[in-house]
Amino acid sequence: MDTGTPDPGSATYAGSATRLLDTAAPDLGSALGGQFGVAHAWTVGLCALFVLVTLAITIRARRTTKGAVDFYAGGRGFSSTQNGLALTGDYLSAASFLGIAGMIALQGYDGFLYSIGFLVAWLLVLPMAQLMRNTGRFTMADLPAFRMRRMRVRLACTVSTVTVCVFYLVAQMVGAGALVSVLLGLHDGGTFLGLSAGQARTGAIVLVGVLMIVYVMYGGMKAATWLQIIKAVVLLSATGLLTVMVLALYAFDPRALLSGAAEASGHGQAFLEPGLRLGVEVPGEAAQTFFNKMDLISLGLALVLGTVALPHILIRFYTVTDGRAARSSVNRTIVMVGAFYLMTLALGFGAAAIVGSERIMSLDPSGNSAVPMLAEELGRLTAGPVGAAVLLALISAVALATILAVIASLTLASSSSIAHDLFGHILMWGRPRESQEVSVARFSACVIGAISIALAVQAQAQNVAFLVGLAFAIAAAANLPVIVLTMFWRRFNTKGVEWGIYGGLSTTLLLMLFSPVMSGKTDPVTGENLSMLPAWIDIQFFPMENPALVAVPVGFACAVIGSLLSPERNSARFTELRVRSLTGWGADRD
Amino acid sequence: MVEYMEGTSRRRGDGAGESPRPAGGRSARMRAEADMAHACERMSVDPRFVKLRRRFALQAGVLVGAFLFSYMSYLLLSAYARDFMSVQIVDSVNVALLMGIGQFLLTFVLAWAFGRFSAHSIDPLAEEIRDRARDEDTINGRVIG
Repeated sequence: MDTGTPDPGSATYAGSATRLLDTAAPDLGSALGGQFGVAHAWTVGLCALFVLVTLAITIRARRTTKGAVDFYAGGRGFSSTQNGLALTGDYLSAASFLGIAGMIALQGYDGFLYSIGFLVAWLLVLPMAQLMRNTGRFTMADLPAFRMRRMRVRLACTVSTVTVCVFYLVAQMVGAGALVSVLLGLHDGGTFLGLSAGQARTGAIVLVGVLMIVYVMYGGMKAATWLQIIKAVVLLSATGLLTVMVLALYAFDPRALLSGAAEASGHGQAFLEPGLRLGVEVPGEAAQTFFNKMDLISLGLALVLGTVALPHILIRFYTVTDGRAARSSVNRTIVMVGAFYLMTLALGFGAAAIVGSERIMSLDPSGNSAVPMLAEELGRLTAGPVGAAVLLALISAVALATILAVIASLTLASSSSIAHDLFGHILMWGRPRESQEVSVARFSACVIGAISIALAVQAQAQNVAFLVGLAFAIAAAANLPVIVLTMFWRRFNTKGVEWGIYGGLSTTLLLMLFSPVMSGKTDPVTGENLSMLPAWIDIQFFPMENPALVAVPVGFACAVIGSLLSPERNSARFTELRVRSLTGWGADRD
Repeated sequence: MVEYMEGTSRRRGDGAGESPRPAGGRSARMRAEADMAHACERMSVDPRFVKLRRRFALQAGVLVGAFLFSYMSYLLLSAYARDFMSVQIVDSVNVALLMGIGQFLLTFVLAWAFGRFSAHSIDPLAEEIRDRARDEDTINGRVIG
């Protein structure tokens, strides 16, 4: 399968191989090295198969997508198991699959802390799912707008929905680009079919972006949901397969796996304890230690509070028949997401023990390549070079499918918000023709997709985890206060919504701008600049990297103060909302 | 600042995009909305609805309280009680790892319990209230549900 072209990648690879992988078999090179090997052919083939199957489903979905309910909410006909799978698919982005497993492989226990936060968050979604299904119709703005039928409410919600979605989208697409360049072995100067690393990254971002636009424009929510269902099944089975293989190597004894990981990591027992990455204790600097620990708690809060307010998760509850189905789909999601994160634990520790952190770091310092490398190693141990190629290809294809499905949902969430809220309720005064609104939704999916492709190409060098964290923090600080107060506070009003959303949004963005992520962070040993801005700009005065601990209370305070400053109150609408959200009476009318 | 109410401010017949509504559509819609508001007002003081509301509040409160408490104490322990978290129990299995797995198990148990309680005490009550409201509407000669 080797193309035989004399490319410089092979030379680079040979050098790095002898330097880093001195005991590895040569077949490893053909897969994660710079040449077009068996694994690449398999990867491309499996990805093409996934894309073809999903495109066929999209075309089928198009045939049954007639009106707004079909486009935005998939006809509200999905069962709770289907929706549970789709929610799982929505939630488990590449950040979970590659990122968390990679973090566990490199930093041990602290990566596990992320997965706990991501899972526990669903307990907050559980009681809200039913209420949200019964109250809203298509978007997040429907919730507050049920009580306060003001356009300014819709506008504020559209702003925050689109902001969260775009940050998340860019993060996922940058991740796709990085993944492709690592998988093709282009990270250190190699080429692939004549493409350099930068070109391959850009190409991957554009390709993924165009595919997502096609899915959403053409098939709407039905296509997006089926895409998620297939992806969730594929992802869970692939993860399960790898987990069983890892455990089988250790005779199904988790203790042996743990000791093996701790030993191979070079950190010893500290690898299995908190503190390697999060909440680091700096000897002699009490203030820095304190802020590091606060940062850990702030991150934990953002993960837990952000999930319930993520727009693309929220609109999934509108695809089921009633509130009860919404609740039971969350129950099923919890089981699947929990099982997945438990398996990532095995994958992460397995990668640490079998592949070793040095080799993972050599390919990608952020650890995103840990799982593909683990798959290759497992395949080689089980079935020789062919096994390595097949398993690596399978995992790479699953990772790309994961990214593709998540960005399709995000695009759908933001284009629904633009079409339904901005166009339907603001520009057309709440009386658009249904066909017009759906056309606008298709068009805005195209625009949002194009904008995110452009942003993602620009932001290729950014840290993906930072962008995802920012999306969660904005959701927690801007959307959560509005959702919670809409449901439970009689005095809440238009001004409260506006203050809550704009206050939470700007606080998060400002704190992020003044945080060590943007400027003023240097490596204590080498003095190297670790921030996004060049070293001569230092505007840092907020000491934490995760703003949620401050931003969420500020968001709530803004919403409450805004409400109290305005005399507006509509008790009758609140009563109606409460009856409807709890009993579901009237929810089936529209 | 001008306040625009959704779907009410546009004068009828002032543009090509006007949706085809029957004559008197607006007043009929407002009447239906007033009826709905009245019906909801009545339902909200129904003792069964009050019971439903209390049950839901209690259940959701217990769920959110329990998980926030356990999760926050877990976070604080991993930030401030590193010595305790690193106590080894069997081989490499330490307290931190067991507490992490414990968070998973607690999540499963709480979710299962919430689903079960809802199915037993919330859903039947909500359905009863909904059915009764629908019956009343049919008697009044209107169909809402």
